[in-house]
Amino acid sequence: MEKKCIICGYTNSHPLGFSFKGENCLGCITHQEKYKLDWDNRLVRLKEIIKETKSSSVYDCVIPVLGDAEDYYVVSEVLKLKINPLLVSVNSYFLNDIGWQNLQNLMTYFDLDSVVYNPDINTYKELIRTSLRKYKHALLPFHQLHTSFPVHIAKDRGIPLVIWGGNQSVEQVGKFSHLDEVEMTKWSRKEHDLFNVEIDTLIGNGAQVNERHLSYYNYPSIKNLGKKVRGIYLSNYLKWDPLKQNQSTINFGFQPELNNSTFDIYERAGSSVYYSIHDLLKFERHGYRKINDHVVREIRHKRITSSDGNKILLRKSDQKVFIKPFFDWLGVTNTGYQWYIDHMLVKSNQLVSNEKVPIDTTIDYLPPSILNCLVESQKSKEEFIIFGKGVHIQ
Amino acid sequence: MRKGAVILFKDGYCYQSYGWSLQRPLGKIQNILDHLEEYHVDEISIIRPVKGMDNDESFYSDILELSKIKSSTPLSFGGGLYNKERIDRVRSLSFERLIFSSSLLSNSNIISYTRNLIGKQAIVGSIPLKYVNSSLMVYNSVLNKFVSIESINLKNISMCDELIVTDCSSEGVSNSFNMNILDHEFFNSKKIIVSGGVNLNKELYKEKKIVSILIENKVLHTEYSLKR
Repeated sequence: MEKKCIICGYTNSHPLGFSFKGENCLGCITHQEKYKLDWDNRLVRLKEIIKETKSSSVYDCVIPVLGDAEDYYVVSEVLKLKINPLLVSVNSYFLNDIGWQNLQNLMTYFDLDSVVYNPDINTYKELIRTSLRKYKHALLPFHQLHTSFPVHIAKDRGIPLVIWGGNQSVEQVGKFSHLDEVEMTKWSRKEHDLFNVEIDTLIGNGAQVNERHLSYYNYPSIKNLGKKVRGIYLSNYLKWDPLKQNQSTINFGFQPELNNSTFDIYERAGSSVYYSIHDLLKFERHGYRKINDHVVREIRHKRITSSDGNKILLRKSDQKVFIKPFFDWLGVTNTGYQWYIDHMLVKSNQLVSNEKVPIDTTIDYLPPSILNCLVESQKSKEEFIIFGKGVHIQ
Repeated sequence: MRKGAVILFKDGYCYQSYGWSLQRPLGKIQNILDHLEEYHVDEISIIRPVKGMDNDESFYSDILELSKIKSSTPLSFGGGLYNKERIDRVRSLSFERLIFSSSLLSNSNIISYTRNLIGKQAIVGSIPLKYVNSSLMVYNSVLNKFVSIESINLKNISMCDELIVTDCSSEGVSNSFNMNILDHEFFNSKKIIVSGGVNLNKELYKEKKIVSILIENKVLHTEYSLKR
C-alpha cells in the first residue's frame, strides 16, 4: 500500500528504500540532523580520518568527478584540508559543450592532476542497449564505471582514500544517520548506485561484448581492497546543502545549464541525457521525475513550502523531452526507436517529443528563495560530444 | 568466539534498527547475504521484527521470499514462530536454527514441539532487554511492550541451546553494549550470543560464557568491517 510522507511528499515506492516513523519519513527525520549536529566537530572527525589514512603516496585521495557543480564543491572543500587529490573521471560520452567545458575547467582552475578513462565505445553502447531493453535504464553502464574505476585507480596506485560528495541514500531517504559515517562499499554500490544490477546481467542475449573491455565495470575484490582503500562521503562531515553550495561554484568558473525538466541549473549540467532519456526512464520505472527529488530537497531545506512544491511540479512534471538524438547516438534505427517508444515507454510515451523542445526560460513560478540561488545560465549548443576540450564556450 | 550479523527482514525488505524504536531501510536480502559472506561472518540471524503486528499473509509472504535466498553461511531465523503450521513451513527452508522470543515468555509448548522436531541444538532463544528505571525489562513482541524479566519461562529457556541477549537501548550504536545485563542469573549457565551495540574486542567477553557476537547495522557500513 502506498504511503506518502506528509512533509516532503516522497512515497514508500522510492527506489533507494523507504521507511516511516509515524507520519514522517526517515529522509525528513534524518534531514533534521543537519540543524542539530555540531558541524565543527564533524569537520574535526573528517580531519582525523584524513590523518588516519595518510600514506606515503603522492596523492592523498582520489576524487571521482563528472565535471558537475558538486565536484567543484568537493574539490574546493578537499583542498581546504591541505591534501593532494587526484581527479578521476570516466568519459560517459554523454557530455555536451557545457559539460566538457566544466570538466576541463575543473582540472585547470584547481590545477590538479587527473585521469580520464575512455571506455571502449562499442562495448559501452552494447551494454547500454541491453540495459535499456532489460532494465529501462540508460545510465547503468556508466554508473558501473563511475563507481568502480576510481576505486581501481586508488587500489592500483596505493592511494588510501576515495572522497565522494553527497550520499544520496542519506540525503534522499535517510537510510543512515550522518553519525553512522557510512562509507562507500561494494554492497552500497550495488544496492544504491546499481539498483542490484551487476555487469554480468548486461551481457548476453546476443550482446557483442569482448570481456577484456569489462574489467573496470566490476568493483575490485574487497579481499584485495581490505583496509587499503576507504571511500568516504563528504556529506557526512559537512552540512550538505546542494543548491547553495552548487551556486557557490560559479566563483570557480562552473557553467550552469538551463533545461526544461527542472529549475536546478547546477545538478548534472552538461549532460545530454540526464534530463531527457534518463529522466523519462526514471518516470517509467518509478513513477516520478528528477524534479520531484529537487522539490523534496528544497522543501526540506525550507526554501519552499509544500504548496510551492506542488506548483513547481505542476509546471515541470509534464515537460516533454526530445530523445531521438540519444537513439541516433546509440545507433538505433528509426523503427527501433519507434518500437522502444511503443513497447517500452508504456507509462511515459506521452512525454516524448518528436522535435527539439525550446527551452522555457520563464521563472515566474519560482519563489524568491529559489530565485536567489539561481544565476544566469546557458543553453547547450552541441550534444553528445565524444571527447572535448571545452575551450569554445563564452 | 563466532562473529555474526543480524538482519531484520519484513515485508520482503531488510531494515536496520536503532535503539529498538527507529527502523531505517537497508536493502534487498540477497545482496546483503552475498556481502556478509564476503566479509566472512560466521553466522547470520534473520529476524522478522513483527512487534505485535503479524499476520499469516505477511508471514507466509516473507517465507516465500526467504525460500529463494542463497547463502553458504549458516542462517538462523526468527520472528513469528508462534504455531505448528508456521514451524512446519519454516522447517523446509535452509535455516540451521530457529529463534524464539515471545514464546519464551509464555506457557506455549511450541518450543518443545520444535525441539522434538529438529533437536535442541537448533533452538535459540532471543531475549531483548533494556533497563527501565534501573529494572531489567524484557521485550514481549506479541504485546509490543517491555515486561518484567521475571516473565521469562525458565522451562522454555532450558530447552534452548543458546540465548541471544540484545541490549535494545544500544542497538545501532557502536561499542555500547551494557555488560551489566549479563550479570543477571538467567545468563549464568547458558551459552550466550550478545547483540545490540556490540564491541568487536573479544577480551571484553572473556569472563562471560559468550559464544558469539551478532553485529547489527554497522556490519555493512564500512568495507570488510569485521577486519577493521
